[in-house]
Amino acid sequence: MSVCMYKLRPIVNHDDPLPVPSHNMYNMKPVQQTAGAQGQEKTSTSVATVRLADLSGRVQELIQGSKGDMAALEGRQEDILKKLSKLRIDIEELRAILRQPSQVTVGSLSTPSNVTCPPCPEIGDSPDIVLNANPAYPPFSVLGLVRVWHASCPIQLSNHTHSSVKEGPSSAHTFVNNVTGVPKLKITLIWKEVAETELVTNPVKHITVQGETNVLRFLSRVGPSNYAYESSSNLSQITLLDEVLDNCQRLARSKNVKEKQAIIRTFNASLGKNEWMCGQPTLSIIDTAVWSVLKQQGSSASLTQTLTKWMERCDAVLL
Amino acid sequence: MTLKPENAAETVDGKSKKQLKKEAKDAEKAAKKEAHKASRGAAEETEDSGIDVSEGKYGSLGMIQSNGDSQLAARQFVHVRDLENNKADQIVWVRGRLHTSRAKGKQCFIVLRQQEFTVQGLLAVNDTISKQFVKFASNVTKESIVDVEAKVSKVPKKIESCSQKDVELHILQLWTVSSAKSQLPLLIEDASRPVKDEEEGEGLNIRVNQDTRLDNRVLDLRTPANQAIFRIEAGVCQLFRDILTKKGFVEIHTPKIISAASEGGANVFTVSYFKGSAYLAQSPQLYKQMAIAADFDKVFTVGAVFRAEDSNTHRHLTEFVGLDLEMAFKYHYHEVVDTIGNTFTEIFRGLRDNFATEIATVGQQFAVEPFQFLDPPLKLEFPQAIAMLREAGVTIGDEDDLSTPDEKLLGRLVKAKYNTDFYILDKYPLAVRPFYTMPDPNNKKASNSYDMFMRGEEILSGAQRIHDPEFLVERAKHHAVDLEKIKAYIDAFRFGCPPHAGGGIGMERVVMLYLGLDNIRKTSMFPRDPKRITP
Repeated sequence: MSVCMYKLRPIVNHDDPLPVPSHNMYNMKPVQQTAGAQGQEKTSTSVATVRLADLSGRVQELIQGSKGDMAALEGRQEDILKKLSKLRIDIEELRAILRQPSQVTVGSLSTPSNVTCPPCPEIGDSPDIVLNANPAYPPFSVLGLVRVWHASCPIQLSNHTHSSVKEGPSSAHTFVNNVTGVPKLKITLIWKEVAETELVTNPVKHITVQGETNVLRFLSRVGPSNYAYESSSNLSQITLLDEVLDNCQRLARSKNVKEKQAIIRTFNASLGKNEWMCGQPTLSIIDTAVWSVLKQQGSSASLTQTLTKWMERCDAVLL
Repeated sequence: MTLKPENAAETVDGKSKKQLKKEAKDAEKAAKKEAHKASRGAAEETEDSGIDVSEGKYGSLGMIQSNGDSQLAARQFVHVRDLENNKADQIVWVRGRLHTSRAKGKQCFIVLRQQEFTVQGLLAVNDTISKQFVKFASNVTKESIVDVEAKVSKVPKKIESCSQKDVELHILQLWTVSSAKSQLPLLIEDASRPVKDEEEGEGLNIRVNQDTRLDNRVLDLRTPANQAIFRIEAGVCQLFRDILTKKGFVEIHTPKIISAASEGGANVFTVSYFKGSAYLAQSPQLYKQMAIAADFDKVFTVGAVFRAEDSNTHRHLTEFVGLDLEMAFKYHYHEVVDTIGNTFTEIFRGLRDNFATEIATVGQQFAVEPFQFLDPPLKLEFPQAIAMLREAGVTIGDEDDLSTPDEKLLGRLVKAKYNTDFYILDKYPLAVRPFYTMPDPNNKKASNSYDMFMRGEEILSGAQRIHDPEFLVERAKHHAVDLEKIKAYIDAFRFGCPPHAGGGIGMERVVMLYLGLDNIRKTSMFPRDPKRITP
């Protein structure tokens, strides 16, 4: 700072000794000493050297005596580990009782390859959920998820025909999945005269979830963690994926051919040159949603080559 | 007949001698008038005018004794139901009841009814119709059976009050076949008026109460809703027979006079039987099971069942028609549950598809939600039901039977979640079932038994029966059942018996719940309950 615009005089001059009032009640030793404390410093270093020598002596002692104590030490370590694992089990149990979906601890405890379903507070003790679907628009996405989740989240799927419709769709017989052992989720699919797919968990406590993509959002929260697209920390990515899901809903509701084509074009853009939608590394909820809604449109939707190829890829995995 | 209103000013308490005399005189007068009216035929009407141009076109046919009049035999009758636009300008004969008649000067409007179908008829004085004819028509009592010859003609404006809205009849001849009493205990019009919850202010809202209806059941049954209800009931019975016969069942007939109580033991009617006494069967169960032991494989029976329960509720009768079935199975009783469930679904589907007009007719009088069901039917297990009830805030033990309000609530919960009025509840706790129920091999407290529900009310209760006599004795002892009384039952299984299961339903109850009616007496033609054994 060779050039300065204004010159400021120092407000406090540290060099001058501060005047101490003569009538002070308590005398205090100065905390910071500027000079004349060399002698004291010397004594403190000597104490340190004495301590150091003492410590090295102890270490020597320990190393010498360790041959006998090693077994004891190992035993203690084992004990501590056992206690820790017991503590972990206790916490797991406690969490199960409290039914808290704790993503963080699950993530830190299990390796990424070991995918688990978080417990779901909405579903409660009875994992029975009901899907009402119009036979004209079968929810293929749910069927697809049941197929790909067969190992990580076994879902029992059965379907019934409601009296409001004459018969279920021709593909009704495929909407069945029997699980050996205890299923994580039981889905009762009912072919019914409804405007769009509805999900009913507990009519006493919750309202129905309307629309197939919203059903998928629900399933992504209760399903295996690698399908939970909302658990990503990248907020802009989540928004992007949500938009594709919303487009699926729009396509399902759209009655205008022009509008439909426009929405299908957005799907094409989302796919780009990637293998899966939105550049996801593997098949995601988004793929199932788009695949399902395009399948419902049937031959009326004209697809680009990339989309057709992608559809075939989905068919291979989901059907 | 009406009596003159009392002259309250003259006599303060009771009726004076004079007044009594007067009343008696009035009554006599009215009776005389009535008799006179009835005795007078059409002919006497001629006295007030000259020549009757319509002579021979109206009158009473007298009692039809099948005397073989070829002229009458040649008449071709058309059902009111078939009077449509395509019959316009044709001359037809119709036999129906005179539903209503309304004379207006030189015109007379009548409504003819045949079963639940009605058509408007018109009679106006002209060069072929005399004044006397019109007068005769307006004096025919309501509910009389008449033969009408008429020309069908289209109407410019739809007739909303009749079932045949597009045409009316221009009457040429009118003959009474059987005349009704001039005063009816209830009017068909009143009895068939739609039941509304709230007073709507518009028009009359006269209702006929249940007892009046039942006391005059013959009249009451003439209402469109009742015509439809009993046709649906016939449909249920026929569908039950047809569907089961198609599935390879054999219809059997079981005795109704029995020597010992079949189910449980209580609530049987005792009848004198020569020097001793016998009981009326309260369930054909034992006989169904004996038929299974006799290798009939699959059987069903339709017949009267008697229950001496002194309960005056909306859903109990002391005599009703039981539709029972029993079936041998190979390895799992779910084979039977699925068969029964499927039978119900097919009955419901048959009703929905073949009786749509009848169901709509009933719906016009008793507005209820249409019956909803699933195919295949929903099957829940008892613990699931308990969990659902607990979630809804009901405190109930694991082994408790469901109370009637709980059943109703469960029905509503299931309806809200699964959209079905019909469901099967499987695996009841062993403790709440009769001794002959087979216990569940996997769970000591559960049993291989099931109930089926319609609109939250139990309609069928069934189970896999124990077919091993030793085990049956063991279970009977556990339930402290007198072995001597059920000896015949146990003996039936001593010569080998296939594993079997079954159940029975009450026809009236199924019809009531299918249509969503509020009282079982509406679906029994001549109901029997603790307070009524007539008509």
